Formats: sequence, C-alpha cells, structure tokens
Amino acid sequence: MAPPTFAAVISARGWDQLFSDPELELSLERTVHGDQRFTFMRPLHAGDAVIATATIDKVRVRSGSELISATVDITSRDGEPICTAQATFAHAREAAA
Amino acid sequence: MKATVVDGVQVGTDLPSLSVRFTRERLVRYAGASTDFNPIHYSEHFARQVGLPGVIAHGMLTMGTALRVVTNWVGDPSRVISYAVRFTRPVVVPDDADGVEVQFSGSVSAIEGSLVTISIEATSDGQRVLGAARAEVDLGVRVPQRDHEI
Repeated sequence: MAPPTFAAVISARGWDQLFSDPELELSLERTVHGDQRFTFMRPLHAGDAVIATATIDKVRVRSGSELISATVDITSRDGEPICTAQATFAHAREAAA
Repeated sequence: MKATVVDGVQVGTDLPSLSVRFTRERLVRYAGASTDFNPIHYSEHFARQVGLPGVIAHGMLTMGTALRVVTNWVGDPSRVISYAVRFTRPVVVPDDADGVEVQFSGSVSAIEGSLVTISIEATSDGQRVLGAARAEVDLGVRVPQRDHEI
C-alpha cells in the first residue's frame, strides 16, 4: 500500500501538463506550492493502473503573479475514484529583480 | 488490519511528536522520488532569482513527513480519508551537513462518530511552516465520548 501522500507523485503527472503547455507560459521555477488537499476514497496499491486527469479550476491574477487552482482526479482505469488532489500554485510572472 | 487506538481518544489528545532533519541530500533524494525537479529545491542561484531566501524544501516533503505523525499513531495509513495543508512559510535548507530541523506534532481537534480530525503543527526555527494542516482519519468504530465540556 502506498503512503497517502504518494498520490502527489501521480498528481505531478497532471501538474506537469500545466508547466509543459506552451500556451500557458508557466515556468516551474517561478512556481511555489500554496496549498494542497487530498481526499482519499481508497488507498493506492502496488500494481494499480490509474488515470490522472488535471483540471484548472480557477486563475486569480494579482500584481505580477497568478494563483492557479487545479484539481487532479485519480481513478482506476474503470473509473473508480481513488483520490482527488486539489492544489493552489503561486506563479510569478517575471523573475524577481 | 491493524488495531487502532480508540480508547481514551478525546478532543485535545496529543499524538507523539516527530522531529526530522531536512538536508540538501534529502531534498535531492526527494526530488528523484517525487519527480519534482523544480530547481528552487536544489539550486541557490534559481531560488534567489525568484526571490526566495535560499534553497527551500519541497512543500510535499514537509506535507508528507507531517502526516507520519498521524500514520504512526493510527497504524494503518488507509484510515486517512483526507489531508490538507497550506504552505505558509518556506523551509530554507542550508548547504551544510546539519540542514534544518523540522518539528511535527498533532492533536485531536474534533471527533464525530468514527471520524477523528487531527490538527498538525509543523515548525522550523521556531516558525510555523504549515497552516491549517488537518487530517481526517476513520477509526472504523465509533469513538466513545465522555460527557464533559470541551
């Protein structure tokens, strides 16, 4: 059985899509994790085949930075819900002087 | 399934605390294990460029370590049904052999039937590094409550 927060490793595959999408113009090194919530429907087990689906829920623009709220839903291949990971990331538009 | 602690659990019950040292080596290991290769977690240059005071620990490293207070206590990690934190202050990890020590503690803040909410505190250098950190565990059996004001 995986430790509960191992779900972050799978969620990261979803988050990576945010940072690798050229249209979003996000830079990983200018991003910090603001908050994180996991809701566990069942534990992850060795051998599980899972699907992670990332959704951008909300983007709030502050002076020079963005607060991005995103949810990753982790399910089995059959669609059984396993874990929901909700995160807020603070992204700085420009590097600090 | 392991037996769980139920007897004597009350709002205010303290869980055994934990002290963990984060070093640069640990951050590198965590980066590899977690696949989070954000350079602010290993490069002073990148960290300072984005306005951080230095290389900082991965938020998820702090979050994951903090939950050990709960899983050590409850025994069975599958009993954790939710866990949320705010990353209120970065944990700066100096480039030396000692790194930085982070203290984790937890106490029961609510009980409803078999659901027990644990409030977690994480401090480094006397400063809280997690805010509103709470884990909900389902002990599987109703937790008997004494009749008294809390």
